[in-house]
Amino acid sequence: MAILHGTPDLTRYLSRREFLRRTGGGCGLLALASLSSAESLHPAKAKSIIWLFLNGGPSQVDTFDYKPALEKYDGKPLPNFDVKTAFFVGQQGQLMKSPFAFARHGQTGSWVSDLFPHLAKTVDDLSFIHSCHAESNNHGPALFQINAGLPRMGFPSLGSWVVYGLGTENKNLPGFVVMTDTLGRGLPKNTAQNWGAGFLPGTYQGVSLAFQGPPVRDLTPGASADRQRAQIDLLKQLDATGERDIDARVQSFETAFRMQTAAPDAFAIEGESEEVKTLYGIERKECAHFARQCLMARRMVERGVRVVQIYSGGYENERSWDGHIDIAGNHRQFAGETDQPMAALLTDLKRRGLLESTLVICCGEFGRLPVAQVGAKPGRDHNPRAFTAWFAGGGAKPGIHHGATDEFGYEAVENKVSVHDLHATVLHLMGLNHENLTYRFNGRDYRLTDVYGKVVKEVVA
Amino acid sequence: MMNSLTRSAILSLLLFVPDVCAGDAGTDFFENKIRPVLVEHCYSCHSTNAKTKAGLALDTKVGVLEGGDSGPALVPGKPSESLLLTAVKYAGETKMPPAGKLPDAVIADLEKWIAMGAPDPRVASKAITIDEARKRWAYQPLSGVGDRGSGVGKSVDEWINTRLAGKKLTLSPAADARTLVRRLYLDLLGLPPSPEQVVEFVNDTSPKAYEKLVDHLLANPQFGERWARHWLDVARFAESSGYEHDNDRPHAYQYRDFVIQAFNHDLPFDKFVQWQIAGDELAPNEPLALKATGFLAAGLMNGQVTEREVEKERYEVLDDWVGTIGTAFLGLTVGCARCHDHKFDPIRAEDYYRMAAHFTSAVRVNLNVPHDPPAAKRMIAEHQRHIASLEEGVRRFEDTKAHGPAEAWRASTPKLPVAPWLVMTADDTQKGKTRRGLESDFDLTPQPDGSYLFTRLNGDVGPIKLTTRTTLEKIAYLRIEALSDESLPNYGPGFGNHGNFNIDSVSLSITGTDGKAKSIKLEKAATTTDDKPGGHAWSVKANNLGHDQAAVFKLAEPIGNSDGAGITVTIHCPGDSPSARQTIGRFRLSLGLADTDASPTGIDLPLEVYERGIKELAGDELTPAVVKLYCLNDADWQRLDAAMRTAKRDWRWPAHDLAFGVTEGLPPYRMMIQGPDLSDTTHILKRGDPNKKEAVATPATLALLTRGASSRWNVAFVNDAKTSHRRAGLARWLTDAEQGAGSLVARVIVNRLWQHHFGRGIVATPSDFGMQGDAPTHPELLDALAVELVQSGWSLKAIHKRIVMSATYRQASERRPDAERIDPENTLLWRYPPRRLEAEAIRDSMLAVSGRLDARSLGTGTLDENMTRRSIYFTVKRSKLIPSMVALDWPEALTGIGRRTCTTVPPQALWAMNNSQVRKYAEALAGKLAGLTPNDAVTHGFELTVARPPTASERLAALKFLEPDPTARLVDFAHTLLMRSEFVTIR
Repeated sequence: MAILHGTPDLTRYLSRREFLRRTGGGCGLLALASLSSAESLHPAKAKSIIWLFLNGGPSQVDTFDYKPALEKYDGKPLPNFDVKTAFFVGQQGQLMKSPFAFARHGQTGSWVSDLFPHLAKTVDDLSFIHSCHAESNNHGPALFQINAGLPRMGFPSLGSWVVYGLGTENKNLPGFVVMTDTLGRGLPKNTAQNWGAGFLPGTYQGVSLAFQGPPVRDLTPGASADRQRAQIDLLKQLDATGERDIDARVQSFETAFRMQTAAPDAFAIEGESEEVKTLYGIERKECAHFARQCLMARRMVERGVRVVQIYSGGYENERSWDGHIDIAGNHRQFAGETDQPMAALLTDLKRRGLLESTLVICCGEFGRLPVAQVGAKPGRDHNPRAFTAWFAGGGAKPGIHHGATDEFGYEAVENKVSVHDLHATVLHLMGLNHENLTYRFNGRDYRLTDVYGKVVKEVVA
Repeated sequence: MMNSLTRSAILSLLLFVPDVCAGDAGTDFFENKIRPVLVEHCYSCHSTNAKTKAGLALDTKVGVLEGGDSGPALVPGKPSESLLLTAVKYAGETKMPPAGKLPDAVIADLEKWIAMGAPDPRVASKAITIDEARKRWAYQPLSGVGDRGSGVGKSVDEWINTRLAGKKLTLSPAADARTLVRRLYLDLLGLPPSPEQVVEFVNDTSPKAYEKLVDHLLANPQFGERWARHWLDVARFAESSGYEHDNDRPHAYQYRDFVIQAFNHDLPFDKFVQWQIAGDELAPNEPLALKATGFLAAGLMNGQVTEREVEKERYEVLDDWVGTIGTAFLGLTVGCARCHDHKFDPIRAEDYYRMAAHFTSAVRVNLNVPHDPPAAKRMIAEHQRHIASLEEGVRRFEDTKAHGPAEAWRASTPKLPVAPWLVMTADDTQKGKTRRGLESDFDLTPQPDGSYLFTRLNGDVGPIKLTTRTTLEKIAYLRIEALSDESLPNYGPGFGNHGNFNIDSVSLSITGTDGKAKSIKLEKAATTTDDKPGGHAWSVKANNLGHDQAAVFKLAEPIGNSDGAGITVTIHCPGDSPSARQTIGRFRLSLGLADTDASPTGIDLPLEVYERGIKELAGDELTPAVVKLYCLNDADWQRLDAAMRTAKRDWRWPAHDLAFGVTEGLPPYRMMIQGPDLSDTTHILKRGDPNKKEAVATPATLALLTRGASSRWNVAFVNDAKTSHRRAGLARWLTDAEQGAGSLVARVIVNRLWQHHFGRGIVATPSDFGMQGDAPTHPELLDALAVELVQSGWSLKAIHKRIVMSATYRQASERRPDAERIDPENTLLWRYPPRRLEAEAIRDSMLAVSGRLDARSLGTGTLDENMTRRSIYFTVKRSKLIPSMVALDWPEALTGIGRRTCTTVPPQALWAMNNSQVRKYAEALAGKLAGLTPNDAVTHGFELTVARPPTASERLAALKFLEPDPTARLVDFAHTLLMRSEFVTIR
């Protein structure tokens, strides 16, 4: 670890291993815990992740995966279309050209639709994977998969695995922070399970900031630091039971204690310069909410938070990128909410020298179909066969386009990248070997990538 | 994805369906010769439990037949075409196993096996049918239910010990008395015992001491407050509608109170189930049964629905009902069959829609729940008789005594009496289109007193135009009476949440013989509701509900035409608003002339009678209408008439509550919805799409769980019933343990009880007993408890007692390294499983030990975090969930959940450290310790919070903490006691 990031985190790491080794309790629960091997680490550039999650499944063919054939064959049937790919099987129509205009941008001449005028200026920093595919065409399972590897509930999320594997760089803040929609459009499907720790100890689960009111409640200390310190010291003495859950709980008091000073500082975007605020678009009503979250994310990774995940959009349908109805209106709205803040985040990270050590990921849980979902204002239905994800920074190779879909953007055909492969690659960029990052539970060594996953070497710088 | 789904579906079926060819020669060959080879040489890379390299799994029949990336592993009967054989012979590109070629004899066995047709007992080879599925443990009728009094064959402990012994494990020794008493209090009441209660139990040396305590706690009303909350999770209980508007449901708390009372009174669980589905049909005289229907009503409801969405929205409501009944009672994900036949369980889409069809006419309403329904019925009947007799008295006076004086009056030169209020009956009623241009769909039924009652309302209501023709002149006033009625929430006079209503505008126009309509400006002049004069709107709110009200509007100019004119009154009373329907329920319109005493409560006559009377006065006969006119000035008649009107005005409806529930035949609770609330039929939908209707769905119970004829459960239709009694039939099927779903329902509920007593159910997936759910760890025990439940007359308390009396429950919770090695998750229960308490129990414990608990039970809740009642009395508003409860894993109340997640995150610690309420509890707790020596304060603090004195080292640590300043540090010390893990742990 010491070699890794120049941060003397080794103690932390070892003590955590020690902690895991000697404890065996659980939330009413007892599982035998062990880190199978310290061989999971290798040198890497990325120290933190900011995952910009476009909830609901953005359409690849309307964003970054330009398909001229859709214009040519607009209104024609999609050859070899397996209609069951869709969620609403009976509502599928003909091929539909993108309602958005595409143009080439940057030195790389990357195609980007006019949904993302700001992001288009940063394309040379992005590392696109156009051949991603997922297993489920349903939000719930697909969200489970993109977050935790399997399209089922109960497994640790990527963020939890990363914090488990790398520990935290700032003991005063949670290692894994999640921000969800603040406009009252709800949580993504599966809610907190999306950032849950599964069978990993509870300390590794994502901490989601409150979407109403102050981000973290009860953050203002009720007593002086000395007095609280004494309380927690007493608590530790009185709670030394050896039960795993109780140890985790005591640990959470330590973190909470330090969060009291660290968190307000991390959230204090008000102190940022006007230039920065304007850059993110905080003054613009349509994107202010996402801008604030992006800026907070930057402040958090600056302070050593390991993983930050931001959800754009809420529950489903019109509350998210789930453009079943009116893909044009839906994506225009959500791109409008995110384009400037995302681009600003990249710019800001870069000029602060943080992009190098921060892996920015952007994707949804699946893509959308190139055919129309029939309606007065046509939409596009779910499509797990193809979606585009992009990385930036964190040791990802900038300005490349990896993999490809067929001429309609219906199915990933070239250099296909599964969700497991994506996860393996993310872990690799973080310095973790996905095959060695394991946790023994119920007599089995579990991995984020289950028994799959291949690092996409092409996107690694 | 489909492939892997299908595969796992088939696999899961295999686990439970015995293969037909088990035991034959082929199977023997497989078991003796083939399986060992596969296990030893292949499974490490090709099995569903380890790896499936190249997509190949050889540990299932399906895996073998479907094969992997290169195609099927073998072709039964054709060794030469089987890749598996080529690979093991090292004859092709793929050479398996890679570590070295198998012995020739083994290869020969494999070849022979394939030639035999590859018999493989590991899987069933066909899709599951209902008949097959019924063989699954969960779907079988409980055996022995019919033999009442046979008792449970084995005790809880015997079943537990049998499984433990199988792993060479034993129960832990019994927990000590202090641990036990705290465990029981927390588990049964959700509150810790006081030090006095602890001492009382510890000092009770009688052999019955523990049982006495159990009985005592089960009889404590705080038991219901604890266990109701568990059920409310399952029932996705909340007191608002969710979605963007999240409108309040001010009477929804009645359902919460029903659950508390039902558990406290040990309402038989079959009734508990039935009432929640059809309490209004099965037990209309039981207030609790009416409140129980809040179970159905509790789900989400979109508050703003466009016309395009309105039908889909209705199917969403049906889905909520079917889905929640499935998970809550049946432990089945019936809702999965909405779009397609269930992928794992034998529930067809048709089953789903036919189950939904029981609810076709069911609607959410604010129900009147009289405190004593039979007495209320008698009281109302008595009142109606009383009014009828007074009316009869008036009529008799007019028919007899009035004749003489009336004749004399007529014979003289009669002076016309001052015109009373003249009650309009409509020659013509028109339903205007709604604000959004939709047709209004309602029945407005004229009543004997000239009023109009909405007897059916389906959707938004546009302006209602009532037109009457008259030759009267000098019409100067309009009176609207809003009348109470038994059919209205809170007895009216409106359909609002509280019986309120809101008339947006009332207008009046006159149409002369030329057919031209002229509208006349109106201005509110006087009301019984103390409104300010002015304007042309009127609403009745909080203080004026449940009895008759009236408002008088003055016309800008007197109107009328002796040649006849049409007077049209238009009332606009929209059916929707952001805060629920506010349509008026029953109303009566009267016109007043220039000389009319325009008091809202003035005397009245039918307009038609008054008009006729004036005409007939000119004739030679003493007609009834003329007598009426005379009577207006007769003191005796006035007395009789006034007595009648006073009796109506002073009538108070029976004492009652409003409860947000479900019934049929009443206008539904409604928000901003465009279009009808419901339709006459429920259809089977293709892929859940209301635009793809297939056949009409007739009500039917789930085929999987139906072993008798529907006539067994149908309830004979009652003639005067407002409801279809379809739900009653469904409810009776649900609780029929012999031929209906009752056996499964019994298993599911005893498993829930077990789960809350032990932290984990015998089936670990409490709301999924289907193919995807977990298998029971102790199937016989589960069945034994379910049988006992049915035999005990569905007494939940009997099962609670059975469980907590067991040695399994009473064992210690300490860790045992020897046992942990064998059963790390304690699935077999070698110790009592310690676990963190739920949000409510944590907060309630803090209130209790600090002496701040306000123990008042039942009634309306609050969103105020400063309240000091038990946490179950927090109002559950979906968009404003109580933050401290949410931090401690409160459910979101979107769909029912059987098991809460249990997280450990810093925000919980922040709450415990910094929350101002927690600090107040700490201060109050410190107050109890104040004045004691530091040593005694430590002892008492421990006794209060964890029911035991501190250990020596704990005492030492605590004293050291207090030492710098025992007084100043007392609150911090008390606060730390509340932060402690042991305090929030049941162990």
